[in-house]
Amino acid sequence: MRPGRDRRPRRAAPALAAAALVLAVGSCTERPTTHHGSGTGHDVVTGPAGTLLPGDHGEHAHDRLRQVPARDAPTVALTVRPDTEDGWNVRLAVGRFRFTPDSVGGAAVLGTGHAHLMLDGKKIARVYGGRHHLPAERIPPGGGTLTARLVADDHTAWAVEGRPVQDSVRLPGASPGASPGASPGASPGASPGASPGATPEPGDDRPAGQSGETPSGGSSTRESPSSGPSQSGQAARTVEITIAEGRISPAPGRIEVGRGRPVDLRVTSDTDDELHVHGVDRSAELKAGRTTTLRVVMDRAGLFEIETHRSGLVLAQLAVR
Amino acid sequence: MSGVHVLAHGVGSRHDLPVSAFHAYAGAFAALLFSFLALGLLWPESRFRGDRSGRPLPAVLQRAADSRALRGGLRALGLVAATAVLVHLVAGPDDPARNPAPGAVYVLLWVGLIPASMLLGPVWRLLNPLRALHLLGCRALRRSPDTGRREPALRLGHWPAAAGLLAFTWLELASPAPASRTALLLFLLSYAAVQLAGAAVCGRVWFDRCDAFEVYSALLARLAPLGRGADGRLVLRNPLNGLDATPVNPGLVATVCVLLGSTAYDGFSDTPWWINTLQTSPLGRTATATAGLVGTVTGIALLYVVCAGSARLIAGPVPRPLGAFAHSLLPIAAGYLVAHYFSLLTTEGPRTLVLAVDGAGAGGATAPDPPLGPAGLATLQVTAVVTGHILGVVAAHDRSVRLFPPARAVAGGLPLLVLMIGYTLCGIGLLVA
Repeated sequence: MRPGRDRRPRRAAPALAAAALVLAVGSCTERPTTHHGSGTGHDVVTGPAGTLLPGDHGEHAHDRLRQVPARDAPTVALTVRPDTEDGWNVRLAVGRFRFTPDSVGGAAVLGTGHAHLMLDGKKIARVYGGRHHLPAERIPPGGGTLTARLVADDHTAWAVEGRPVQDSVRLPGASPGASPGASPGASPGASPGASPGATPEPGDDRPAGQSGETPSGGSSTRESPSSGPSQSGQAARTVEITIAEGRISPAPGRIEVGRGRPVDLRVTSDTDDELHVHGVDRSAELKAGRTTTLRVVMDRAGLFEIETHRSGLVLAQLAVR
Repeated sequence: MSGVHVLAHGVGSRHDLPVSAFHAYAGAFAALLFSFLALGLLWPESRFRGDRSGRPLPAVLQRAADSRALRGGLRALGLVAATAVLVHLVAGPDDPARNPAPGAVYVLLWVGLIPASMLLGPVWRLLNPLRALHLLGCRALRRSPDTGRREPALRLGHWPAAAGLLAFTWLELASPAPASRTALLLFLLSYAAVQLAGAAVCGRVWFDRCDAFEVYSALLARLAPLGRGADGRLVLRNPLNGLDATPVNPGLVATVCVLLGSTAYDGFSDTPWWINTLQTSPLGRTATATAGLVGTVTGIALLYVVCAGSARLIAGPVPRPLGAFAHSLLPIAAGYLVAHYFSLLTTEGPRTLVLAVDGAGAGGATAPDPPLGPAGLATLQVTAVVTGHILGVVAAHDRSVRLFPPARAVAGGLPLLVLMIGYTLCGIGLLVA
């Protein structure tokens, strides 16, 4: 076997370290580590409760940010479903996170705390569990963007790379029950900070990533810049992809997108599968015959594939500049 | 956040963006301009002296480089790293995001050997764990590691290495699950078995001639500023002299064509057109990808054979017409390799090391951004391809003025010049696609 010239200090005897140093002068294994620029390392954060970022982040009103590495960070996906009587049923699907109402006000412990619900950036409720009811009277006539943000017991917001861990959906203003399967343009809500979790349309109570009852007709093959403006001033781009009998339409191509611009992937498959976007490492379940919307915000330049895991198809490439 | 998944292309989730039209035209223009200037302006008599050139290193460095401690240390390092990779393959998670073994093989070994060999020389010779195992086995049996019949290895030359490289690149680029533990284990163990059997029959000359990774490292090391002179001393030399000293073993052309072809296929397989062809082909994805890889390698080899053959027709007979110019393709292959794998090494390399040192955390390690932005990366890629082209043209020119009669040397070099322009424009085309 021919393993790489990877060194594992844990395993290598100290005597070898000297030999390794001699080799290291121009060797391939050493050079890349110098590209591990400050802030991208994996040992920046010391305590279990992350690093408190210096205050006042205008747009992230209310909460100071407590930064943790992405791999430890909690995640949240926000789903809303119209209530038959009044307003909306809100569901928060959290990952690596536990609601701890009994210790609120205490010190921040990684992976615990509660959530703040915000409407158009204004805090409207504190949430101690995965479910919440939002009365219609709280929503302005023109609708609004509902955001769920995960915060620690000391009310500092969990954050990754300077952005709070949160997810947003757009709520229409008028009677919610009347608009199941609203147009894709109805969900431009996510702020630049909102990336974990998919953004489903109203009229849906399945977990994040699965959306309304859009039929999987062959006509839904559209790729267009659309949607209303998001808070970052960049329009979300909607890409529609249909998979039928292993064939992808439109045929796999490149989707040019700017860094930080949200992309709504609306994928309809004739089989159950898992949608995956490389680069941001986002996944969503695909249910046969239903349209799943996954919003991604690409923050690195490069060419990234959108693929399905079970059938192993490349659906398209995101060319992020 | 990530679930268990197997990536379609070995490791690495980020590919390079296509380079801009500006970069492509600038590169193509530079390559063409240099090629035509070379026709008229390059020297009329051969200048390169191969392994008789170079400035010897000071005696202290010579002794340090040849010291038993360094050599033994590197051998032990190779064995330890190999064991670690095997342990991760047997006991680690079947997920390249959390298991460092696929990254160690596809990035640190395969890609890492490129800069290591091009800077320091044939480093895999020193690290190769199979060589160390063979040596240990010979010691246990109290026989010399050189014992064996040398003729088969000399007669086969680099052909087994070409086959080994093709098998490895097939695993990486065309097999259904390149990063799965089973596939990697199966490949590495069967590869090791073949190499150890070869060494048992032929002695350790087998590794020099027939081991794919040693030949890969040694050929790239022809471009290193550091090399061994004819007397075995370490010298600093012009890489073009090192290139000129490339031994023409049987199978050299095949090995270089596999390197060129597999890298070209890797670039080509990122294009939406090929992705679509793969996914809609009635043959199935693996068979189509295999056909694509083998077809690219064969196409590149055929073009070379045609051009080297026409050089012979134009300029008259030379001994070993095919092998005589094979070395001039090496810098072109090296340019392709650097252009295609620089960002992979700088992003997945650190990630693999962090995974290996740190153990697989909950979500695995994240790959850092490449050290260059898209424009910087494009400049580096085009520069690498064009530099390879220039070195190749110069090397071929020097060889043709040495081999061909003076009156026909320039004309005899023309088919190869055309071939190189073709390879380079294709290489730049792949960067744009």
